[in-house]
Amino acid sequence: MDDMMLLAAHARIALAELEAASGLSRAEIVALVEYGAFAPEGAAAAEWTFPASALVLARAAARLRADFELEPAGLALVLAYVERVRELEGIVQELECRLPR
Amino acid sequence: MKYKDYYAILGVARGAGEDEIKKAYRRLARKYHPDVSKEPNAEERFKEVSEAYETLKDSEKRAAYDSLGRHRAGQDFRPPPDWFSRYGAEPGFSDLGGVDLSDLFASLGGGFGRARGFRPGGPMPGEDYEVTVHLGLEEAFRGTEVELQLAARSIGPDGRLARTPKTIRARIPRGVTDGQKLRLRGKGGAGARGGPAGDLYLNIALHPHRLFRVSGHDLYLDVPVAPWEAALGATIEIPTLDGRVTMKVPAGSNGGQRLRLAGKGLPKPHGGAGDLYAVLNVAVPSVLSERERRLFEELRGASSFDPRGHFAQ
Repeated sequence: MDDMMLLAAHARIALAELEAASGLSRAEIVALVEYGAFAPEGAAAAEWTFPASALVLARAAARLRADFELEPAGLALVLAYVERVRELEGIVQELECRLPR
Repeated sequence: MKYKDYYAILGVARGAGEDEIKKAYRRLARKYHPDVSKEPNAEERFKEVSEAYETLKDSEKRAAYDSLGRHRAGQDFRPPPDWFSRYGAEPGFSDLGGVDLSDLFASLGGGFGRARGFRPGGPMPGEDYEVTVHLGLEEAFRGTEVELQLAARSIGPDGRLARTPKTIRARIPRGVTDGQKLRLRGKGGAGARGGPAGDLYLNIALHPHRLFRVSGHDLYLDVPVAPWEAALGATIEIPTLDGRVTMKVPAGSNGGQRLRLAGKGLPKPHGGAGDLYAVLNVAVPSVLSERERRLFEELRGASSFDPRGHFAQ
C-alpha cells in the first residue's frame, strides 16, 4: 500500500513532518506561526500539529521564500494573499456552478 | 544536447550585469511564479526562467555557459572538448543526446534544484516530484488507480547525475476532488549519501463533465423542466454519479432555483458526502403543435400572472 496522505484539513501533521516535507526550517515555521500564517494546535512548538493542508501552503512558502528571497514577515503577508486568492477562487467557482450553462 | 538561450529567456543582453539579470528574473518570476500566476503556461515559463537565472546569477556557471558558444535556441550542440575538464563538470553520461542543459549545470557545483535540507557533504534527500493527475468525475467518485511515467533525476553513489524513467502506480482514493493534493511519501527521487527519498505530490485535476459541475465536494446539475412541471410540481428522474434518483419539483418552481439532494455529491475522505444541487431551468418547446399553441393562448387569456409586475412599483 502506498504511504499516501490526502493534504486536506481533516488529517494532522506534526511540526517535524511539516519541516521535513516543506523545505522550511523550524525557525521559519515558528516565525510564520508568530506572524499568523499558520495556526497550529498545541501549546508548545513540540506539541504543535497542523492540518495536512498546511503542507501545501508551507511548500508554496518555501518556493516563494527561495525564489523571491522573502523574509518571514513579507512571506507571511504574501501567504495571506495567496490564501485569500484561493478562497475567492473557491467562491467564484461555486457561484459559476450555480449558473445554468 | 539542445541549446537554450538563457539570456533570451530572461530578456537581457549577453553583457548584462548581475543587477540587471536579477531584476529581469524578479520581474519574470513575479509574472510566472506558479504559486501566484494565472498565466496559462506559467509553470513551464517559470521553470525556464528559474533555470536561466540559476546559471546566470552564478559567475562560474555563467562563464561555463558563455564558453559553450552562441547557438540558436533548440539547436543541437556539443560542449567544446575541454569544457568538462575546464569547469569540473561531471556529465555522468556517455551520450549527451538526451541530456538536458539544466542537468549539465546542476552537475556544476552540486546544485540540484529544490532538494530539501541539503547540506554539503551530508545526506542529501531526494528531489520531490509534483505531477498533475487528470481524472474523470466518475473516477474521483469511485476511486481509481493511475500509472505515472516520470523522468527521475537522482545522484548515484559516484556523485553523478542520472535521469531514469520511472513508473509509479498510485491508488487514488474515492472522494478526491478538483484542486486537492495527495502526498506519496518516499516516491520521489532517490536520496544520496544516506538521505531519504523525496516525495511525490499529485495535483488532482478533474476533467469537465458533460452534465455535472464541481464545487468542492458538491455537484451542480442543470435540470430542465417543462413549464407545467414548474407550475404544477412534478416528480422527475435525474442522474447522479450513483445512478438515477427521483426528485420532487415543488409546485411554483422558477428557473434558476436550486433543489438540494443531500449526500448525492462526491464522497468526502473522512466520511459523509457533498450535496447535489439541481438547478432548475424552465424549458419551453421551441416548436408548438397546434393544440399546444391553443392551450398556451387559453392560459394567457385566463391568467392574471404578471411576471414583471414589480417593475411598476
